[in-house]
Amino acid sequence: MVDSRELFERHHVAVFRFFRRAASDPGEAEDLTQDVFLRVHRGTERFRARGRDAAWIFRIARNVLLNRRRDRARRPAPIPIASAPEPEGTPRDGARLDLARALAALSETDRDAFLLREIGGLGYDEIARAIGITPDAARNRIHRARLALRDSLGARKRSRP
Amino acid sequence: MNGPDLEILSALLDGESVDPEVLRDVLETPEGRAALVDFARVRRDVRADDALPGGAFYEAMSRAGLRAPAGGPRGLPIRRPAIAATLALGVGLGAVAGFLARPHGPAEDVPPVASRTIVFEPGVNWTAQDDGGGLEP
Repeated sequence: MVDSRELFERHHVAVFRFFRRAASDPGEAEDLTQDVFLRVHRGTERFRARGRDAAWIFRIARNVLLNRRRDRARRPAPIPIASAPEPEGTPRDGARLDLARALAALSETDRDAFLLREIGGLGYDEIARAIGITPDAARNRIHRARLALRDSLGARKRSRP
Repeated sequence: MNGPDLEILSALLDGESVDPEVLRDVLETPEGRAALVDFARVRRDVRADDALPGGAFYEAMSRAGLRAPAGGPRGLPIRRPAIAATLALGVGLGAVAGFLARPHGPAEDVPPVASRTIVFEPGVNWTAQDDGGGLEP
């Protein structure tokens, strides 16, 4: 039997940070994180005792994210982050914005696979199960995302005065 | 450099087992080394986030029963010393009460006063025996 309070204490910060990177609006991260752990707590999602609980939690997180994207798709499209006006701020803010743009430029599946690896700490097999692809496809998508981010962030750094 | 060569760097970063010979070949090239550094930089940037959910989030989670409310189990460290102090006080009071209940005074240090005198007279209420003597009233 898994204690949902323990799972919350152990994983909620990583799930929150995953959503900050993966969701189109980082302001939704708290809301999405709540949704994940309420599902766990209310038993909406049943834990299957194979594999790590982190993989299970992040699989739920990815499902919650997909639902949110579907809801958003039905509503009027927000202004994409890449075309938003450049805000003034510190260099750190600029780097954060660069990263957000680079991540937003990835396909959703590549981005999710990459973030499940980098923030969730999931392995290829776990990512494959969470996304519904093969482990080889998970590896390829993560590598593709890494190359794209490298190019994108490198280009932005070079173009920065 | 072709794709699969860089893919081995990605797999290495992801904790996968890779062919050391191929890895060596890749790292012998400046492009391979630069790619590894860039991948490490991307990882650092992506993971560089120290944000935490706000207070309203934690309050909502407490209401949902996923977290102890403020002053609940988190207050235990404050309550524990109070419990310990109460126990110590109880033990202390018990010790004092026990000490006060004990009989005190000089009577403990002097022998009891005789209330009667018994006199043994040979042939009357005392006889000697062959087995080493003894009292036979």
